Amino acid sequence: MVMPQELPTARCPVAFDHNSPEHTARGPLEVYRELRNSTPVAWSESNGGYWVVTSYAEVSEVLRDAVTYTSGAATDDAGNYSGGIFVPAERGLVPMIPTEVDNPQWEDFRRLLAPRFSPTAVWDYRPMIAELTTHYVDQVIEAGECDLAVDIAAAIPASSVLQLLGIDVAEWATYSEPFHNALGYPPGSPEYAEAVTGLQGIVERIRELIARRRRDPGADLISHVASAEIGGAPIDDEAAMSVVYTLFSGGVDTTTTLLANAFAYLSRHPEAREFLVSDLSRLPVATEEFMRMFTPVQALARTVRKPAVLGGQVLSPGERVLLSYASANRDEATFPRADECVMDRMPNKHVSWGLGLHRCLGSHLARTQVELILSEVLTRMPDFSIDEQRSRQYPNLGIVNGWVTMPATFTPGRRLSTRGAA
Amino acid sequence: MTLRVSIDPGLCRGHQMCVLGSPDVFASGDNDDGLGEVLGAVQPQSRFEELRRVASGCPESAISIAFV
Ligand code: HEM
Ligand code: SF4
Repeated sequence: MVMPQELPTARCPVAFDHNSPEHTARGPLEVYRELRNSTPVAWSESNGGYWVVTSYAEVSEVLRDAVTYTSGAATDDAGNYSGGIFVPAERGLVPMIPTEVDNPQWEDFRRLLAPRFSPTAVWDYRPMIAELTTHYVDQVIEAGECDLAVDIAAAIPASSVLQLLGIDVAEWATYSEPFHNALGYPPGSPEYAEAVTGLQGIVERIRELIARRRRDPGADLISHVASAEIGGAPIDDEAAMSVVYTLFSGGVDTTTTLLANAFAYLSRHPEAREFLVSDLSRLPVATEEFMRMFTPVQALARTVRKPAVLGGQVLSPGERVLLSYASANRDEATFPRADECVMDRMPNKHVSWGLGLHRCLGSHLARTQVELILSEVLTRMPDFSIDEQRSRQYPNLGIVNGWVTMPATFTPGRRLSTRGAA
Repeated sequence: MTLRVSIDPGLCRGHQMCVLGSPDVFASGDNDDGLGEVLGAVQPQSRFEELRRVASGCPESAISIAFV
């Protein structure tokens, strides 16, 4: 075995900052390809200094070793946030649970949530998600035009998460917009500042909802969290708030991003669209390929807890490590024809849900949302065509590969449900 | 010789790529995490190539195939 002291410790920093305008302007995939081919574990001096990991083997090695690489976050007495899943740490505005807690606590929180997100539980949500899907498609179907990113990709997943939490779905935009903007705009921009204020407002609303559901519990997820026991004692208010906040943040931006990218791809590739339209049972396998190709969550971070050697580099405790899921998903060593969207790709061990301990809790829910929404769109508006001139991606693609707007037209159809407007 | 297929429950994280790959061999188990379950642990040798591919597609490397 190579001992850490035998390896070179001199670092040759690379110019890399996933939060910078250059990263988005050059195209994250190009930036990552270069790094992956030259220095798959590289040190950057940006954001206070951090490692960036771009190869499949090393990304998966880190994700599967939650003892050496922690997701844990801490707030000191002065209110400074450290650790967590973002670089720089300050981008994490509210501590996330279970995402940013380590064991032994993680296990308790995951056990609390898992029964509500299991494949069996999600099966019972299907009629609710299908009804919301029909409802939102009804809102646009007669017009023959809509904003696919907003009216479909954002509205439906956000509404179904609100429904599970026991919040009026008509409020979906109020809840989802600050999350989109906090991730989609760079820190320092007016949109980002506004989003931060918006998120603070959401935190306050979550606190009120928890207090209300404690007094008057229902069958919804917020009541479930508010009445939980963690480590034998009732969950405290801040932890309950963090859990609910995490469900929002996990639920409102991610599925939305996957759907928007799938719409763009299908609009540009008629043969791929035809492949799905002619047999909708191909959707689950194709969805995993969309997950790999478009990697909704591009990169998240860990903090080194014990001295480690990764890809020939020596990592020291306290150092931050950014894991590029987007880059791992394009690694030719793991995926033949990595840059091609192979609609029936199998096997497909992409890392878009994460891996190991913190692997996405909501994956079964998200898969069901994507399946129901794509099949409804491909059935009721199969000839949709996006307006390339007016469609716009997030100004900052460092964390989420999202879309701000995607105007589209299609042959108008008839409404299906008699339910009133929301 | 036949094949014996198993999932290490300590490694499986419920990605369900195995269920998509060979649905007659793997199923989503009735558990909170959606961990995979082996429906048919004993398989003919003729399925080695297919099952090896499915096993190699498990993101957590949780699937083993043994000749017995
Ligand atoms: C396409 C949609 C989605 C994508 C791409 C996605 C992606 C991810 C990723 C990459 C992680 C791992 C984070 C890490 O390694 O630190 C994660 C964790 C998580 N996701 Fe998702 N997610 C999606 C949908 C959802 C939905 C719909 C929910 C719930 C409403 C959700 C809730 C969570 C939670 C709670 C965690 C933390 C799990 C833990 O720490 O144990 N996600 N997700
Ligand atoms: S693919 Fe692997 S991790 Fe996923 S369910 Fe099957 S065995 Fe488990």
